[in-house]
Amino acid sequence: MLPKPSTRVQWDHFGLKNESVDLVPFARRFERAFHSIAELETMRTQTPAVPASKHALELICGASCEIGAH
Amino acid sequence: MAMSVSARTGPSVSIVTSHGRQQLDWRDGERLFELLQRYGVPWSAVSIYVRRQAAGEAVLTACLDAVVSELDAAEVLLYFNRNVNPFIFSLGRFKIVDSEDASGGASEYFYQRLDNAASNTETFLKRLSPEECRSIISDRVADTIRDTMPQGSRLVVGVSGGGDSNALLQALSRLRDHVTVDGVIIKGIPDWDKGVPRARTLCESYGIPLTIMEEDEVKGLLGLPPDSTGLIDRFEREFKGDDFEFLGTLLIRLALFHRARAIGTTYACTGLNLEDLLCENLFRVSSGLAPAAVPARAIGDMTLIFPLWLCPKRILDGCFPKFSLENYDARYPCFSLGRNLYYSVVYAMQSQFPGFMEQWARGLSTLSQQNPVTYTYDEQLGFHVERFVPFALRQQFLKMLAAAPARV
Repeated sequence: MLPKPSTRVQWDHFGLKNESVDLVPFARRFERAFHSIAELETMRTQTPAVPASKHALELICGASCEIGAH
Repeated sequence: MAMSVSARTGPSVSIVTSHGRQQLDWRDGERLFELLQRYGVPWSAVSIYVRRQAAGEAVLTACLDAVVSELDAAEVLLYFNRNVNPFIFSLGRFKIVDSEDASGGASEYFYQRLDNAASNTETFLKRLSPEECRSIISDRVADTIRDTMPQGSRLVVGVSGGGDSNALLQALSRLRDHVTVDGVIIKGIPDWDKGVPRARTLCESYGIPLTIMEEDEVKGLLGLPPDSTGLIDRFEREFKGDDFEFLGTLLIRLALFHRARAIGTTYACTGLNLEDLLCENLFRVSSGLAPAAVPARAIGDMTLIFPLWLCPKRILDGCFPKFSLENYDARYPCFSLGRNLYYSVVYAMQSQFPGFMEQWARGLSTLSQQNPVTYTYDEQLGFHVERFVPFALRQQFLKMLAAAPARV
């Protein structure tokens, strides 16, 4: 059992380990979507590279892998 | 829950991550390893804790090979050993984008939007008609040709007669305002020779001149006399168990450059596609070598261009389905462990993370242009090589070229 969190900021996230969620997506029926070839090809070939941190903090701090945390 | 969880007797199995947990529904006779594979959980990313009784201690246990129903356990907890959520990229739920015609599509491709701001992804399975595939390939080829070649240039293109070269030729034929195209096919390899009639038909249909290089001419590229032993016999005698594709790659490059010189151009191109480029450069960077240049590679005074470098095979195959099938039927097996390894790794990554491949390719391209690999002319071999060729390998290659007796 996890200790009751003392604040409602990051600590709440520890409780996620006990929450049942659909981690592995699975669908029996698929929705339809409408996208042009040009739109899909732009998505495929021109999307900017995904930075390691949402705000590209790796430029200042490193890419978070070198200390092996979490 | 998306999947019902078995009510049978046996342990409950759950994947536990920092983002939540999910119970996995195992099947009779299924091993834990197989269960992980079915749910797309990487075995190397989980630590397995087993509780024998419901309230008992969770003990780290080595049991990937165990049949789940036979485990002496009340609960199996698969702790994801990093705080990331790998299932963000799962292909288990996606939206279908229909093809523009009513056929249902000849091919299909997973397009994946990676949304950094929202930290999520959206996946679309796009069904593709042959016309849609041809339009995609034409656009990608046009981008590359216009970026890498000055207007009015002549371009020598390698033609195999298969689906890829058909797709490339049709795309190049739409760029007559920018380049004049000249096709080349080489003979001497029985499996490749089967493509000659198709190559001839293709080039005629696109109004592109085709040079068919006979085996004796191909031998001449390596300095071999025309009436000597065939290339395959020489290769198999000296490099038993290896794949002729390697020598074939060199021969095609030499043939294209030979033809380019003959018509006074410095540009040639081949049908290297997205997966080929990733395979080549995965091998290179994992061996400590800088990525090879894409989409334009300077070799001596020639430039080898790869107009299909951002074109996945699945989309290429959809352009001319019949040609692609004939090409598959004419294939022989590859035995080199390395070639099998690098392609297999690329296909595994592409199948799980389709939205990442082009980023990877573009990153390799940028690196290759910042640190271009230089090729030097090897007087003894008679062509350009990138690296120092170890003495033993050089001797073996020269022996292949020289030691074969003349044909009677």
